[in-house]
Amino acid sequence: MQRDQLVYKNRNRVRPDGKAKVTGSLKYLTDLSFPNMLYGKILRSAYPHAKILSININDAEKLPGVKAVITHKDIPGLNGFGIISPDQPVLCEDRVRYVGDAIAAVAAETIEIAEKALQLIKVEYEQLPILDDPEIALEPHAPQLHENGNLLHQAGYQKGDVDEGFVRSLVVIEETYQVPRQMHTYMETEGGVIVPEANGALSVYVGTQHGYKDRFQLSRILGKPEEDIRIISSPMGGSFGGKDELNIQPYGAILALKTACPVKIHQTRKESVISGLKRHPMRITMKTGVDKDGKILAHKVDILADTGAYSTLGPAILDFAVEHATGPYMVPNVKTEGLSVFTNNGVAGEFRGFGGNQITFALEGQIDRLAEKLNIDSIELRRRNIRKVDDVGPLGHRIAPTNGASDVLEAISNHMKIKRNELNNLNLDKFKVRGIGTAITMHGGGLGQGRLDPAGGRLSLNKDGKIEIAFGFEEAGQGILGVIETIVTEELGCSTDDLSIIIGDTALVPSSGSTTASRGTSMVWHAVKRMKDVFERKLLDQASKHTGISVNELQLSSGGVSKLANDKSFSLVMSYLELAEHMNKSKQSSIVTTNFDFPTTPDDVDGGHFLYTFGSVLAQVEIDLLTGKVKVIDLDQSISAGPIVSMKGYTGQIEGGGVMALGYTLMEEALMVEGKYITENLDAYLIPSISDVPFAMMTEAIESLHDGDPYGPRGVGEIGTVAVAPAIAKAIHDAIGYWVSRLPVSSEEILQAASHRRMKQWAKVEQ
Amino acid sequence: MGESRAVTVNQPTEDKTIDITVVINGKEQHLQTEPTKRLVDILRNDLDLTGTKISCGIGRCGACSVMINGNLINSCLVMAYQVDQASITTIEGIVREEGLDPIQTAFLEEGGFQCGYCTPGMVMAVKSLLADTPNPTEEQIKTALSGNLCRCTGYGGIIRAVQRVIEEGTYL
Amino acid sequence: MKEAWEIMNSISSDVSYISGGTLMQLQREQGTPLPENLISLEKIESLRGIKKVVSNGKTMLEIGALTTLADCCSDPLINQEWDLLSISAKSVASPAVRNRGTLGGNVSYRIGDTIPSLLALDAEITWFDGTETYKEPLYDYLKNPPAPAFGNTPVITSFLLPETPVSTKLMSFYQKVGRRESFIPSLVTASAYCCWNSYNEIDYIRLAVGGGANAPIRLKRCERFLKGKVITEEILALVYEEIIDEFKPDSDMFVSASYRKTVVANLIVSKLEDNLAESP
Ligand SMILES: Cc1cc2nc3c(=O)[nH]c(=O)nc-3n(C[C@H](O)[C@H](O)[C@H](O)COP(=O)(O)OP(=O)(O)OC[C@H]3O[C@@H](n4cnc5c(N)ncnc54)[C@H](O)[C@@H]3O)c2cc1C
Ligand code: FES
Ligand code: FES
Repeated sequence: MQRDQLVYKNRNRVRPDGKAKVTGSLKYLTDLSFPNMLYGKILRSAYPHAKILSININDAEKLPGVKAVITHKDIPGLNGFGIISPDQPVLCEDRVRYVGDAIAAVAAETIEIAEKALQLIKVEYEQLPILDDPEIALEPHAPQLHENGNLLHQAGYQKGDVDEGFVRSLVVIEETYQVPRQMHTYMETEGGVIVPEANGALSVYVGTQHGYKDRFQLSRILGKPEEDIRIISSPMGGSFGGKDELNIQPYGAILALKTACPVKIHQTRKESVISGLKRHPMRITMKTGVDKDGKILAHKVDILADTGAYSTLGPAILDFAVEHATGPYMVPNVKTEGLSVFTNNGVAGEFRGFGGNQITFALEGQIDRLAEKLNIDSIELRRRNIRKVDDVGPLGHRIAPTNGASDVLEAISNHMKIKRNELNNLNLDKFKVRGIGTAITMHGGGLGQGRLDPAGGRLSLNKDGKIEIAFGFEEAGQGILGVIETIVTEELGCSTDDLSIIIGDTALVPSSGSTTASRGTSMVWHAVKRMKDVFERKLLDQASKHTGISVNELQLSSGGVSKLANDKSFSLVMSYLELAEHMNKSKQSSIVTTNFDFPTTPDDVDGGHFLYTFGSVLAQVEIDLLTGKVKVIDLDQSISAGPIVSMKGYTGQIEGGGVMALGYTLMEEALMVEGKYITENLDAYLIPSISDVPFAMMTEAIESLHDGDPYGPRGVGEIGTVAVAPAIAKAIHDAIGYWVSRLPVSSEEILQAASHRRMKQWAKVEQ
Repeated sequence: MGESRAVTVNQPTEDKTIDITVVINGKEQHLQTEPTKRLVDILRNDLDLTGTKISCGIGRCGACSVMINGNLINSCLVMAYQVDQASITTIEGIVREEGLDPIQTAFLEEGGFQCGYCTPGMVMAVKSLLADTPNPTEEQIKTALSGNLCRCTGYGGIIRAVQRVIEEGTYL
Repeated sequence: MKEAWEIMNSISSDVSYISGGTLMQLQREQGTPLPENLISLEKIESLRGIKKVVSNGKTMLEIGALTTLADCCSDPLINQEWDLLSISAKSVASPAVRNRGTLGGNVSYRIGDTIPSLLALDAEITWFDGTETYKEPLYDYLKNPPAPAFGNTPVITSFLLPETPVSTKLMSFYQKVGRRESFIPSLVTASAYCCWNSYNEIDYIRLAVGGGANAPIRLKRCERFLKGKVITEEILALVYEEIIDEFKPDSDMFVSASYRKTVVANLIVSKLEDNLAESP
């Protein structure tokens, strides 16, 4: 283990977009307005599943102030979208499959008029049976939602012989875990402005996590060359995966083209709830067997995912869950089968954690239950099964050597001792009990083997004398701007004042792939590493020509090129502006670009990852025996993800991710009944408030990587969300001896469990 | 009954508008508007004061928080007629002549924001807290910020920012 | 006041009073359009203010209907003697909403979270029907709301809180339980005020419960059961059953009726248990 690795000096800096954010001066794309701007509204389906018999827009069109009403007839190109397969209609023609399906859209002079116009659109439906559960959708006579039936995707992994493994097992635990439909709840709901430009071109100011992909999808829908579409996709008020797929862009674009006016659409929260993506609800059954020493012998997993009405990234998420079904443990016999099924529920898609959160809740739950049965400490049981540095990955594929799993396990084990001790010395109210739990996880970064995962960047000295670094990434709050700033300034030796960062605009940046899968930081690091030497060489060569000083004595520095003196001091010989002017005059290009793929496993294993991050969580809960309410007292995490590029970014991702997962565990559920949302706004769909979180959370970073690891910092965008739920579940068990297997944890269930354990003498035990 | 009076407010069925006078960030403004128009829409759409955000529209997130006559208020819950003669401070009115408000500086230095969408409202809420209670307890901080949701930070950075302002004593 | 009433009468249909407007704005966003005419009570100064008054020889705290929930939280008089009200007001929404939401609006809501505390404090309510001001116990008002005079709802003008009974041993509490720690609609609310005499018998008791869409009620049967009793283990077990029996809340998407009953019983009985008579 290499202990003193790369440390970024400036990792405590304030991020470049900070000032504009704290003063409110930053214009989000939903804050923009343009001359002659119209307001757009989208009519969504009245039913979760129905035939459309007719759509009448006459009255709506006649309403004064209405400038355009569009239906499926107005779509110039393909009436469909979807990152992988475009099976979601932009505007439905003859059938609706969920309440978020769009049927028409309106552009009007004011929002109020647009709303009124929606009410005037008459749609005749014939209701169809509602498939509101994947099990029902898989029944033989269930109506088919798509041409190829209701099964979107089937994935599996098999190794050894589980049956034989169970026979040899001393203890076998089988349990079904149920996890809810979580909403991203980015504070800025979907929206922006679409502006028609000269010659039929279009500028799309709408947040997304992959500008180039939006451009491709829009070009297909609009029947327009990609070059005519410019996507400005940053900044965003949060995304968490939820804005990766198209949302309002097609409607705004068609309306803008039809009216030749800029069109603004900013969904209300309710509209966002109804139409937006969610995390896949899953039912996961796991059967796990161990021998007397706690060695896991067999692990059988069945996953049933409710993917909702359309595909989006449903298949990839299921693959990810299948891959992570054994987590960081070495298991000789494994059989994992997963089904992702179409229903008439809300569309499930990409969400921070990407299927890892669901599967980890189940897996860690199994380990904890087994530990209890075997009467072995649950951390010790993990230790006995954990992967070693050179072990293969969960699909039997080669991965970058790493000791991350053990590192995070031992870190949390030490932390546990301290917390346990504190708890033992605590006096509590007689109706409160506390418990502590831990869990660990392993999470793949990048899209995985066999998935196009290209990245790229561009470095140049622009004519203003700024070192310009351009990436196709988007800033959704995760702090990619700060990451770019730190890596570039430290790698090149220039200062932030010398730097111009350009992101999130297809007119100005190269394609960098999607801002997803915790890949941003990693990609920036790789790109800069690749471009740095060539770029430096180009600049220094020119500086040398101009000044006559040998290249060997020159280096890039703050403000310009410096000459290194013998006493190691250096003095500026040419500012970047002078250099830029010189290079301009002598027609020397400074542009360096790079294109590469995110590192994947050399083995031909579909979806297999190569770089993994590791995390462990300690949760302490306090349970109110009178109400069954669970309150999280501590939520501490140890993370192994390589060197920290930005301290605040790192901590913020882990704390923020942790709290998002706390919500997932204790309160968040986008409840649907018969295909309709019950929780339509933030009064019923709950995310944690400041009173629900520990006042102080610990984030411990294990920065060291395996000796000679050439892959640099890994992303931490997702890892902080993955293992929180099982840690809380274990803490609840520690407190009241009851295992929860369904999220969000129900106070009612906890209260009943506590009563059954006769924790109050005056209450009769409810049957 | 002296100054007391009941006020009828008519819905804009026939494009009825009223004239109101408000002081926004120290500047007096006369506005002609529908009486029941939400303050948040007036600020964002009519006055281009887009530092005030909107997220839930029902008082459940705090993104639209402003100060009206010194009190923290959700601008999505207030109608035009209700702010006639009122003095309103939005995030745009917080910056001091010397530069950032110490609260804003603390948010920057402690990582009290990520996407920044909740930040203007959050800064207003912290400002409102510290104006009344310059040295708040943990409970008081939680209560004061309980109406402002943040999805990114998990509140850690926000709490550290508030603690920093308290330690520096700039509001004492 | 009169003016408000006259305006109300002059407009025949689709009209409503509005105070802070927080609830009406919420309902508007949820799809209930605002009535065509709103009569704002906000500028009627006589509906504001918190002061001690003497009525029929009894000192009472008068709280104007327009008093904001924030003022209910911070007012020193309320905090001293009627702190159940300030505790309950603090449990409503967030500071910003409390800065506008009024006590009158909260009670008009019928499921407002301050109501159980007002019931436990034996509050009286005054209202104006266009000609006269009426006064009656809040309990009666909620049970039989005044019939709208000429088709119009009367204006709530104030609340009167009698001085709370004093005794050497007393117990009072208000608690709200929701799906989150704060800023949350209630699942369950419970409030009680209870005094003991020198024989260790309960000689005064108010128990009020609500939560969710369940209009708050007083548990009168339980109150009668407890009155005159000395708290023993056995009594606790009995009153526990009695509460479960008397409180008949509804289930909703989030919790069952049985959960509500159990929690209410747990909260009340646990507080009573703190006052168990020492075993002889
Ligand atoms: C985000 C949010 C959270 C909330 N959380 C809670 C909560 O936790 N607990 C809770 O109890 N409530 C809650 N509410 C509901 C409500 O806003 C409050 O109860 C508040 O006290 C209502 O007061 P108001 O003055 O704003 O009422 P308004 O909106 O002005 O009026 C509400 C109703 O009462 C009538 N009315 C108002 N004043 C009078 C009067 N003097 N006489 C006769 N009728 C009158 C109006 O006609 C209207 O029908 C919440 C509301 C919001 C927006
Ligand atoms: S938008 Fe006003 S509180 Fe959410
Ligand atoms: S910083 Fe994104 S919501 Fe708070």
